Amino acid sequence: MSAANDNRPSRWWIAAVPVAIVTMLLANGFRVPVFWYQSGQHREIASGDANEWVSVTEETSDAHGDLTRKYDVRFAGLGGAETAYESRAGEFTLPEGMVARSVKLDFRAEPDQVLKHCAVTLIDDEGREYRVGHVEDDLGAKITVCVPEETPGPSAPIVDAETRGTLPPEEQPRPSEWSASPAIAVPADARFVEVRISFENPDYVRIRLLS
Amino acid sequence: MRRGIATAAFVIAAMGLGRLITDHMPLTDAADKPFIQTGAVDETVALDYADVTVTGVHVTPTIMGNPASAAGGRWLVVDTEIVARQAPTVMAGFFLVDAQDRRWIASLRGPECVTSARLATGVRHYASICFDIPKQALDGARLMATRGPWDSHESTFRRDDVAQIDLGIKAAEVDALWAQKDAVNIRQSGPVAPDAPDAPDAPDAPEEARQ
Repeated sequence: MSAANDNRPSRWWIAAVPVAIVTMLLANGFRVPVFWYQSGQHREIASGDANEWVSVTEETSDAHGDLTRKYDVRFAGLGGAETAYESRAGEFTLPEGMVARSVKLDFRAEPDQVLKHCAVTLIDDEGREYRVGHVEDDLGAKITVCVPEETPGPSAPIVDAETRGTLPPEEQPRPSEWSASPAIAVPADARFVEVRISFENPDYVRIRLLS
Repeated sequence: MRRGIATAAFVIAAMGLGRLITDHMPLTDAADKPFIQTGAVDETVALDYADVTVTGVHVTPTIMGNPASAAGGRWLVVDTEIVARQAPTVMAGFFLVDAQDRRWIASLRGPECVTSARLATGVRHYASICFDIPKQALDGARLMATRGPWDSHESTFRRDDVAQIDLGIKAAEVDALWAQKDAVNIRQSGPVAPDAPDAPDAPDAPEEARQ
């Protein structure tokens, strides 16, 4: 074997193996952000307890580029036990054992913040999620779930020609503090442990209801 | 010599490891296959994300409405009841498989026919899925119901639960079903039971009220 030093087999591949493995994982890794992380609520951007103000700063973007959305939210309680609820076709009666509970939320935000299209989710002690306001939800309120119906504030510009923070003519600016109480269809006997407020996946705000 | 033995041992070990991976890891077919849960008419099929029940099957040349919709072959209308147990869910994959494993996609052409269901947690959703099919597709027809819409490589529901519900059509019944001439009236999909008194289009409502 003494002559082998001159023409022994190449060993560069030993160093290449870990590089190849890392490259393979990275090349496949796009699935994790695309199919999992960005397609659900996976990043808690703020949290707090019931009846305390939670300050939220969320990174978002519109036609003009990146911006931050800032607001404060406080969970003030669950109310209501209506059996009437809204669907696309109009009002209907919820099935036996289910009620529409209103989620009482107080908000504080500058009038120029875009707060339409929020989704509110109640999570019970069995991990079941009940949601209103998401674009995929057919039942319940839409668009103005977290804002006053008459003065919801501005929409996010979706083309360059629109300016940020403009309101339709004759619409009054949103007050700097207001309350909203969207209703969610839930089982009458469910015990809720968490409420989430979310605008865009994967970000959400978590408010703990039972401690 | 010793080095030769070591190299041989290394190669054999690497091949053994490769064999273990190909034998025990889900590759190719197994990595893509959905999890099929089978059932029959009036049986509830429990999927991870929803319970699916076929409550009625109709074969007709005409779906009533304004305008009524005539089938190229015959309409196979499948009435379903679906309830999401854990979280709001969108089911966009409803298709038909016949005895020869040919696939038929759902049609939107008939009034009130739907091709997807947006489910609120815990609220039973009623939907009628319509397929315009030729005679030979009736025998052994099965409804497939899942979250991802059907596409040619079935990538949208790989590794996901899929309900496969036998619609109970036997070869001997095909002629009689094909000869049926009665038009079928399809109720609006949504959270209201089709025969509930407050259904938006109750059977005795005048035809104009449906529009």
